[in-house]
Amino acid sequence: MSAMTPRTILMAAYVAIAGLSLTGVIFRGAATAEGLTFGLPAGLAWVTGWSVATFVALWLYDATRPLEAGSGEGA
Amino acid sequence: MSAEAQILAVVGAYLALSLGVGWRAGKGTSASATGYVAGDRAMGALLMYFVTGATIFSAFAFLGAPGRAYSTGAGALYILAFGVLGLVPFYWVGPKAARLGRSRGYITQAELVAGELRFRPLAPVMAAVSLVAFVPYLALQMRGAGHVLEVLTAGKVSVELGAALVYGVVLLYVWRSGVMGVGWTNTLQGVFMMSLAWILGLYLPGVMHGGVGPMFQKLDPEFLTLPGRTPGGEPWTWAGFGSTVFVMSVGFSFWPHLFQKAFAAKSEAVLRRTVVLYPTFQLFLLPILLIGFAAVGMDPPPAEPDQVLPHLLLQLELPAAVVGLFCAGALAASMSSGDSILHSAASIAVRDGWIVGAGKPLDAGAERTAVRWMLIPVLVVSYVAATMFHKDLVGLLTYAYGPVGQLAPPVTAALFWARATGPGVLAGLVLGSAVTIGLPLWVPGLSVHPGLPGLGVNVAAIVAVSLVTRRRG
Repeated sequence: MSAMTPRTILMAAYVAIAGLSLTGVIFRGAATAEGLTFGLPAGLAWVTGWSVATFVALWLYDATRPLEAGSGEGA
Repeated sequence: MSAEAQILAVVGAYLALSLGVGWRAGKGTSASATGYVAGDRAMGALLMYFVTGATIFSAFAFLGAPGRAYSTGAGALYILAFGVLGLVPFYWVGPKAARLGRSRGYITQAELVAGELRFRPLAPVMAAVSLVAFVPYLALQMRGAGHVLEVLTAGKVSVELGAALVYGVVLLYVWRSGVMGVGWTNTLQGVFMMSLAWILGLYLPGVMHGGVGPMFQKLDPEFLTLPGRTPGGEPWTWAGFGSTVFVMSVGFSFWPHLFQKAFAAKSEAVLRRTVVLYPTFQLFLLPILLIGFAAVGMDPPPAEPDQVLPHLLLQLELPAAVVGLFCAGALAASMSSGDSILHSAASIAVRDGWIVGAGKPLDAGAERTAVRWMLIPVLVVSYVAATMFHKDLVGLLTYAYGPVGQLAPPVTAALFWARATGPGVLAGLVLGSAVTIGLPLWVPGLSVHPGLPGLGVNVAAIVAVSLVTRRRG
């Protein structure tokens, strides 16, 4: 099995942190803060923020993807 | 023309448009099973984006999500949370499945797993698990469609009749065009419901409360704080919230009708781009939740939480044509998932149950015909379930995610663990599914989603049995 590249390690770390946060294991304080954030309750703003951040993280991950010989890119 | 007649005219026009688009979509695909089930493996980025997005966002999203926000407050946020990471595994799983599908002719998830592990009995078992999850999911879409028509016609069109009318249209275009009918109608429906969601999500809080911020300021802060409440009104636990998000995130990419689109994509780059763009589809759910929060405290309240949206539209005395348009949006949400599930269920029953499972090969034309005829029993069984189940829409889907989540370890093991064996994967799937389905019966009041212990048993069984057995061939 080939060693994980730094970008893969970073992506795995991002997914782990986002997953732990979205399931309420970590960062509960931020997700349950009082008052409104950008006009939304903290939990709603928190989850929406993760949606946007995940799109950015995936886009960066995909954009830095090295070209692989025989990667099977179709027509 | 009465208001009801205007509403029905708009809905009728929408159904006719969907039928027209779906009917024409099949032109140009081959007459083979690969053409009917996998669109000749030629779906481009636009179709893939809307197929994955609109397929997942269904009556569950358009009707169930506002209902959950209305009745459980912050508890409804799990609906947004599980989709954030739900499609991420597909970035790696999808292209690999597509590559194998192209080289070995796979067109279903179960066929892929059974083929890679060289263990034919897996295909019918995976097909059975898929169908167990599909029936409540399709029933949910039908009930959603029926609900909308019943409320907006003040009961003149019953839930049963409404569901039959809408799904009669779905049957026609899926029968005619297969997966391309699903793809192009999903594109139409996706654009339509995303637009309506944002219009409604901003308009209703504005007209009822003076804006989104003022609306939230009026609500009880405790109601808006995670993990919120259960549908029964009791405080939800973090264990319940977190395990539900986890199980639904794990199961998300492995819904067989969604997974099957890996075999329809034009290229691996298209699949990866779809995953990258997918979290943007979550932003469509945000305004949907706002609709539910806008209805809190309204007088009179809706008869059921799932009827919040049509109930609000009627109470606000909007022009009938506008109400009809929004009603059509809700039907679009139901149909965009229902058509995909129906098409997938029929193809799985034929390919995995009959051809692979029973070892009865069919030529390409006969398989296409068999899939078409299989649409009818799938639709009938789901329709009967829709008329019998009276659980809330979101509850039905959350239940269905339990068995579907059990497909994740077998598929992942078959694709990425060289030591995995057919008997190991079969043991994991059977035991995991049994725990998921049986645990709520054995342990009433379970505080975590039953899919979580099911996944634990599933993975343990795959590892243990694979280590003491050998892969064939």
